[in-house]
Amino acid sequence: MTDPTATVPAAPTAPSAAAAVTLTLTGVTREFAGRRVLGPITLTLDAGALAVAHGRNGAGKTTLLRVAAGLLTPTAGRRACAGRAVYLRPGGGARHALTVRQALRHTAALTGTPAAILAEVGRVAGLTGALAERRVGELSAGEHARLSVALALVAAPTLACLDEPTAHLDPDGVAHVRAAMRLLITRGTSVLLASHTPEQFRDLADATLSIDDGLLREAPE
Amino acid sequence: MSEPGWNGPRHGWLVLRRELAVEAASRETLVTVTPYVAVLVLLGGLAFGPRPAVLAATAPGLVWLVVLITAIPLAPTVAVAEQQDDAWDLLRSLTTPSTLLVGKVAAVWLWLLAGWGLATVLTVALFGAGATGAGIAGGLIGTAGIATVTVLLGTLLPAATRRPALLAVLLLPATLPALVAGTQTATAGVPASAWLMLLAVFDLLTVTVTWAVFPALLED
Repeated sequence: MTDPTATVPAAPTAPSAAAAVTLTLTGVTREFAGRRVLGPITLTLDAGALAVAHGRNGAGKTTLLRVAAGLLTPTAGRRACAGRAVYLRPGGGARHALTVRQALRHTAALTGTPAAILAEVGRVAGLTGALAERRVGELSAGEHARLSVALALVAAPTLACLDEPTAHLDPDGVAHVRAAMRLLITRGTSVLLASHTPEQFRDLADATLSIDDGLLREAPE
Repeated sequence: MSEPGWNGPRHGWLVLRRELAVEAASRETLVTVTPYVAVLVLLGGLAFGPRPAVLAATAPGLVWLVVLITAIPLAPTVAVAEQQDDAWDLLRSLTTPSTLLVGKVAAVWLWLLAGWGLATVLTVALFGAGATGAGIAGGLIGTAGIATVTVLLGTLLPAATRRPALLAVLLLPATLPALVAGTQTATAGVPASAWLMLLAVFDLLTVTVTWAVFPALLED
């Protein structure tokens, strides 16, 4: 099996690019019921770097993100992450009974994020005014996707693993998600995202990872 | 998952506060538990009645049976409801297993206490049963252990294929000590101290076991 080693450095403009490594996966594999779904994969992600994983459905992108976020334990290999990691799908992250404002506040309380940052996050993600008082379960798919990225911002993680963050979004929604992602990187958060449309992040991405049959098929671009 | 260190108790409270906010917004537990408890007590009265002496004598056991059965619809609030809203992953990422456990147990404990309180009030009002200090202490202590078992099994629930059947099979026998001891603490003329001690031991055991296995249960 091929096992290209992918190292994703942060862009020189990223503030935390002082060679700090956020995520290291070393020979990581993951099996489900004895069937290998991921790996072996070796990947290093620097602080403030953004890597886009792409590949066909079932290629192993989501498993890679969940292993990277610490939600799945590798069957073999080693995962090291410097700090808090979160995994979010569009539409995920908040109980549907809560309002957008409540969801953001509860996340901020758990992470100790200052209340002042909530306003900035709301603005960047386009979740202000009446929308902030809407229940999460009443949001459209696009609004919900923006909320998920906003939650990632409020959670202030070291590593944000975002699964198809722009799926089913209109251009306005994509713009909000991209703005939120830019803010994440600016704050030094490393971002590992899976997408079927990696070209949406070409200008933000430090590397594009092609995944097939659970393996990195080529060195990052 | 994050390591809040000395912030652990505060994070447990924040998880509980989130549970309370969800309940305040949805009233889901209220509309599930309240009619459930009321109907079970009334059905118990019909089954054991109509003699007042028999109703009063069986009331403590009926109350604890109602508490145990009420735990079944509460179990899905632990993880299944979180997963249905796709909120479980982020919550697990932002808390340690211990703080998540504390918050979830505290929430289920509150709902069980409310159910126990309602059942007790109904049996006092309808069946002429008595309410003693030992009975109240038994309620407070016993429901804590049942809440812990409920959270343990509620966390297992998403992985179970035959969910309701598995839950009933596991939950009800595991809470048998609470049923027996809780009933005795509320029964007139029975020395309660030994039964209260048994309830405390039951709590200790359930908390210890759940604390030990909970991190492994949180993995996908």
